Amino acid sequence: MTKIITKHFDEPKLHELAVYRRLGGYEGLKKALAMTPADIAAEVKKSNLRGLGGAGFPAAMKWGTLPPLDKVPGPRYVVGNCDESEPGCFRDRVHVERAPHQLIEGLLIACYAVGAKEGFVFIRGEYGRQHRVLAAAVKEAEAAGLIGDKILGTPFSCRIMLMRGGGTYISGLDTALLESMEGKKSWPRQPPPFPTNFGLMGFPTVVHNVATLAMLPHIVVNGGEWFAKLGTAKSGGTMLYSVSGHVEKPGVYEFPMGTTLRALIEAAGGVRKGHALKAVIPGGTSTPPLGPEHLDLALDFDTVRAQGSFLGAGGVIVLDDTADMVEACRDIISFLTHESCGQCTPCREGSVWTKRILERLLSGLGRPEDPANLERIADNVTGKTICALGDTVGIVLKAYIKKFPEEFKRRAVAGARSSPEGERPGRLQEGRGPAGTEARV
Amino acid sequence: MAKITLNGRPLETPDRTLLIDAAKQAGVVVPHYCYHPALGNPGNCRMCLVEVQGSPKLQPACRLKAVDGMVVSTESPAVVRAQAGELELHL
Repeated sequence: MTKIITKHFDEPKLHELAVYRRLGGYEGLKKALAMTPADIAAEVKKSNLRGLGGAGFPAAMKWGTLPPLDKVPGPRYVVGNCDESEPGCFRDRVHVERAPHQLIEGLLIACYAVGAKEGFVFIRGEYGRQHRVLAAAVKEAEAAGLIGDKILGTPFSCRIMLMRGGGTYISGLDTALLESMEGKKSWPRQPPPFPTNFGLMGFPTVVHNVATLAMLPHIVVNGGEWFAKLGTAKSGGTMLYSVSGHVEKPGVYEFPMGTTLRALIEAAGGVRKGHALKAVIPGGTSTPPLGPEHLDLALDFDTVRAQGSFLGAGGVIVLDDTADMVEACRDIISFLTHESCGQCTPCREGSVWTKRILERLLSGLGRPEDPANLERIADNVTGKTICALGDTVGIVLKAYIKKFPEEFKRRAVAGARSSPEGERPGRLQEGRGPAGTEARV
Repeated sequence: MAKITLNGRPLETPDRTLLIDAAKQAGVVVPHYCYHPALGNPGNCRMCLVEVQGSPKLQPACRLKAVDGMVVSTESPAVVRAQAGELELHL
């Protein structure tokens, strides 16, 4: 079975330049520098490479929105997004640490293809070790003339700079990431204009998830058609999954687009012994949960979309019969409340309000109107906010209530105790709320 | 000049005028909190959301600039629902 990013992961020294080169590393860069940027873009278009950071936006289409160099000369940039913060996702930290040169090579190819002379990797602040490994790899590459002036004897010069994030989830959003890079608080911008027209410091900027960039050397070496054929009609290549939850062998798994959910869970050792599958979150906690009825779904960006969810960043969380879905919903909304940047009213207010309602439901203080009220608030948040974090608040609420209505109904009654399966009840105590808030909620 | 349609009626406004100002020009009030001509248009209160033909989501009138051919509604059922909803979240 073809693996792309994780192909050489059984080589423990893959992060060392000499080992990476021995295994074919930087052949992609060499070949790319002998092609024209237009030819590289054509291969990426043929490849059906979709953005792997969550949105699944076709990479070639993103490059196509850049203004032509003759109309808008001047600096342009490529930024690798390694702000991996979606709960359930941990694959970027693994491939950046195991194969940092693969990312560097992909970033250089992208810079060459779009006319950038500076590439960046924005790494979430918490990934200290990954940053050190990547920094060491950048130094190795600079010493070998793979980064810097006249790379590999060609006219192409390019620098790479690493930047560390300040610890927010929202800085994983492209415009918020750019704000953070500019030294400001990571408040998302309101496109239009989009980053490819007005990005870092106002210059055209392509922001790509680091896994997306890591695919580029392989697309250049083997051709776009090869990459496309590995996947499905509109999602080329492979998907890098983080599988966690109630499975025997959680970990990072790479599978071609179109692999079924069943095959993915089986590869991860299957559901915990003695338990039955209850739900699967496919793309990180922002995505609506799928159920056992979806086990034979061939996973790609469009098939999952058709089922009302998103492949996202492939953060697959498997939940078995011991999972309490109201708690799960509360945990996710809690996260979003904490991470809301606070800029716009519906997200800032709607997230904390619905979190409080969920805490009441889990504390025996539920009211009959709670589930319907949660859905009503959800409708006032989704589609009305500056960025997708706000949309997610409503999407998650409605998805969990729609799929597990009985669990919510059961708690929407005063005195309802947390279910026997739940391990962590709500944090409000009966008769008391956090300092005077109970009556308002 | 941009020729737009506002609530079913044609309106001519200088190109790139903010929709909220174009509406005001026509005597149509769009509720808003965070916009003031002297202080800027951050577009984060979300009270001024209006319906623009061709956009699946409601758009903040204080951020969008009038462009020839735009069809805007400030009083459709979706807009009225949004106003009530956003006000509730403010309060």
